[in-house]
Amino acid sequence: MNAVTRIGNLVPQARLRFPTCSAAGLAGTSFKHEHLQGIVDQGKHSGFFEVHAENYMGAGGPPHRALERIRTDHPVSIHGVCMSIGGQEPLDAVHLERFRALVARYEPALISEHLAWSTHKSTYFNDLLPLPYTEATLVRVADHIDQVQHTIGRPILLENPSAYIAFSESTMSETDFLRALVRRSGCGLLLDVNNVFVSATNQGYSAVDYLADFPLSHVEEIHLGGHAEQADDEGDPLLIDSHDRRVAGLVWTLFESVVARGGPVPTLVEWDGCIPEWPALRAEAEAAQAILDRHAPDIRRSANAGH
Amino acid sequence: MLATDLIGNHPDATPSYPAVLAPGLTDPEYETPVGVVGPNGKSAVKRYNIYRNNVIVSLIDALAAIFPATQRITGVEFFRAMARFHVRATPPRSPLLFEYGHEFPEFIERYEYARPIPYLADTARIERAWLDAYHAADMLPLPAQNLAVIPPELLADVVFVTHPATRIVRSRFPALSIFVANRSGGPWSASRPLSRKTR
Repeated sequence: MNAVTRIGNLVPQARLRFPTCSAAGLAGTSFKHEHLQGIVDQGKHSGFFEVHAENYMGAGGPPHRALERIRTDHPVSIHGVCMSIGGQEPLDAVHLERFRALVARYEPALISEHLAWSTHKSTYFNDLLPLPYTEATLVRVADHIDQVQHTIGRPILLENPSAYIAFSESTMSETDFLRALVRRSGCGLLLDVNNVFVSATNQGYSAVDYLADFPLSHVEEIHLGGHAEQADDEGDPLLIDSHDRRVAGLVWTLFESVVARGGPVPTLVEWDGCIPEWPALRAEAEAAQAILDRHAPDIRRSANAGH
Repeated sequence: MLATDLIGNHPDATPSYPAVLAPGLTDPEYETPVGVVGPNGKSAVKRYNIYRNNVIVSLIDALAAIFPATQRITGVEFFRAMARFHVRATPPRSPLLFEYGHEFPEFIERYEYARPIPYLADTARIERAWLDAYHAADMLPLPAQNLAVIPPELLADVVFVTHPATRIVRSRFPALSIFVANRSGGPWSASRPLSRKTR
């Protein structure tokens, strides 16, 4: 029998090994590929970068080159958008495995997902859709978080949603729901302050009261972002979580009050539409860093002063 | 169909919020679902429509980012109208948006208003293949010298293993030239569909 000679040098390229990086006390930004050159040219930059997990779930190609480049010098946060943790169906096992592999490959400093759903009966809606807060949904969401954490071998942070509607069947508040999820699953929380402002305006409650009731001791990351304003059926303001502009003044005020109580938690400025040049995005992160530094423990401040 | 039918049909008979919310997201014929409310008895029509709009517009945007040359040929308005029909009929089955649109070239072929542009579907096929190649596994390409060292008597048994980024598109039209002429973006241009918003 003739041996078949297989040609085609199909050897996978070697994977990089990354240094350990912590995001403690740091501000960061969304990582956009068009900013890569600006970030590299800038040289020393102390912030962290967050990416949407799904954008790096391809087998290879330029997205991985870009993320490897960033991950070599910076802490990275992997932010899942499509796990559908708040959905009613079992989690997608294939997607969960992709998520596990991505975490294993990039060893991110932070890992997060959303209290929302995006897939139903195998249709993917590409939006973060809301769920009612009941005993039944609590049990299912806690199970889903447990499954994710078990698969990746690390706790995740769960993000509070921005909501435009509510459900008449809800029996508990969002803060109670999140508190119960933390207790049952051991997950941490990602507090999106812009989402709080958007939801509070849209649902007619006080953002300050919501934050006063938020389990801040479990918050390990904060999100800030810009929102747009429309009007509801009655002509009252209806805020859209658009991530396409600078962070609003009132959101900065709420953020500072959270940091004053909870300390300098890693804080990300999200910007996903009408993306500005890198210096403009960096300036937003520097504004967040200044607030974090104001509330840093004295030890860190004096260490920085020594530089 | 009423939202309550969907609730009643669910196997465990518990109210299924995804079954209530989902149908109207891609089908404009559905009304605002029962049980969805605004604060203090306010209407939820515009509120629910925000989700509808997010879903449809973000998926049209995804197709526009995957098929920029196709959009350049048709013009934005034409493209978005065509994409809207496709999004409603064939929403994504995978949460990986860079996998979306594999059925779009075939849709274009059947799309009545695109008939005067017979090469449009093949241009879209090349754009879809381009994105497949972009995300394909990283393998070193075959160096030509490797062929030179194979003894002639073994050449008949040589099997060519294609690189993971290889795609073959056949066309009756000069679709590749049309594709090249209508793609002006740099190597990152196709990563735009991935930059979606989160909350």
